[in-house]
Amino acid sequence: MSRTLRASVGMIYGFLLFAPLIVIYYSFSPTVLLEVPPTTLTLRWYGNLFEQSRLMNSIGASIVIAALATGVAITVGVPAAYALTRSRRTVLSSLFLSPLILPGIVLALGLLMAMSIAAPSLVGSMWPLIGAHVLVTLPWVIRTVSANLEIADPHLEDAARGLGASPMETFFLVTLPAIRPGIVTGAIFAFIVSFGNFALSLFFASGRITTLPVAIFEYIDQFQDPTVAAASSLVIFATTLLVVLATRAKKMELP
Amino acid sequence: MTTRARDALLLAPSGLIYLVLLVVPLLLLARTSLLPAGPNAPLEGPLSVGSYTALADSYYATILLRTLRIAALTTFFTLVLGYPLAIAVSRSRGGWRTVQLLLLVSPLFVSVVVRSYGWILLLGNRGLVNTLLVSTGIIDAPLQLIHREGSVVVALVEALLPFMTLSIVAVLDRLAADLEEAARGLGASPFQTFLHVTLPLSFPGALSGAVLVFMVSLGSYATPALVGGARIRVMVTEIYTQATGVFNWPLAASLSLTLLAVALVLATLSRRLAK
Repeated sequence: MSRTLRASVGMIYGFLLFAPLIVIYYSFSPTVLLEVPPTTLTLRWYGNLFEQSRLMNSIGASIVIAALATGVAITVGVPAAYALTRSRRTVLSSLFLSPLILPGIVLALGLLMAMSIAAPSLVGSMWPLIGAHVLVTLPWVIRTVSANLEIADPHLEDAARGLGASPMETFFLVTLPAIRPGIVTGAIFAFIVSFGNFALSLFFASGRITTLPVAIFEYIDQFQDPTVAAASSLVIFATTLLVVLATRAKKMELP
Repeated sequence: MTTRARDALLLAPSGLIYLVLLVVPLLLLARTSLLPAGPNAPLEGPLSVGSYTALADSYYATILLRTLRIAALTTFFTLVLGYPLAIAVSRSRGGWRTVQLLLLVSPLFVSVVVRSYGWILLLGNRGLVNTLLVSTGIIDAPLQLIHREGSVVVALVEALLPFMTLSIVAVLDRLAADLEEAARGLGASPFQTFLHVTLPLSFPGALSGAVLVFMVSLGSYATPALVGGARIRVMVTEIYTQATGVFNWPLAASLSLTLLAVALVLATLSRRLAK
């Protein structure tokens, strides 16, 4: 690799990581002003975070919503990915993947309208949030599992069937082990995408229940102190740990 | 059991979810867009295209143009920055490649709200850049860096660069390395090799990355809302205001459908271009 390419690549990686790094730096800042170089470092904003009940509750809600949405997405997404790849249903495929590129606010607005007509009593509860998050996580599961199915050898399934295995046995003993990395990757992506999603939560957050990104957004609007930087840094640390562990254990495949 | 019956069974649960959570809501959105517009407009009334005439207003034309301009600039800069990254990734092997892929994917794991917050900390009036410039005496008063179209583009480029890079990497990985070597062996400079060999062969990856980045920029809410503020209004922030601020759901719906139509037309055109 030439020196110019290496230097420019280094700078671009720096640019890419700058925004998260500055948030981490600010979370240790002794004052609400951003000082460079820092006089001291402090953990007081992490302490303050535990006193902010809306932020703390939103972390719990985000975990519950992300876990439920991921569970649903895996349960219905793996069979769908199987049918979509093995039968090459391209039109249906693009419909199923469309929430990846359609504007989240537009999807959320449609959902809100549908809900206010069909089930107004659900407004303000956790259900619309879970539904919205299933809609954004499902395409990620279908995409990663499909990618894995594309490279898994379909002849192995034929061989299993030829040797007398039932379709169920073939799926659970042959196909499933082959696509396990795709399922794990899909689940991790689904969880993280749901945990960080903002546009689809915004319409459905209420005074009673909200997700972490929405709570952070509201907090930034009202206060100017590093408490949300501390909350964000905790999330960054946790997800980095999760991804590094999963990659090291070779359980997860990077795209 | 036939393949068709098996597929129907496997697709039924997710199909139902898409029907209830995506298809029906979008149809409802289309119907709502045909209702009479106005603040606190009721969700009933005679159907007409009335709410779309508001789009002829120069206020909305400006917003639509700005949205498209921001998306186009974001796409352009992710292309320019994505190529060197993609080349570096596709040429590296083993652990170094894993590290680079992790670096690329890791921003996707940080909520876009958090990353926009990072840009506010950097570019705000009391942000890092202004603090440094004022304390070193280079300038007297803080520069207006935030709440500008340019800062929205910068933040979007940072957020979407990984998508572009991964799309190009996917194509470059399948491209035979000896083609580039042959070009070099025949006396082409590295730049000529890039221009005449690497670039044309990786065009499909760049194009699919461009479509993805363009569509996602059109639809991103958190970045323009936080980094752009009230001054830099784009389609999605306007949709949100119309829906939750003044409860003009018909107008919010027609703005939504306009945005969807623009996005779909552009995506279809670029797919034609790829053939």
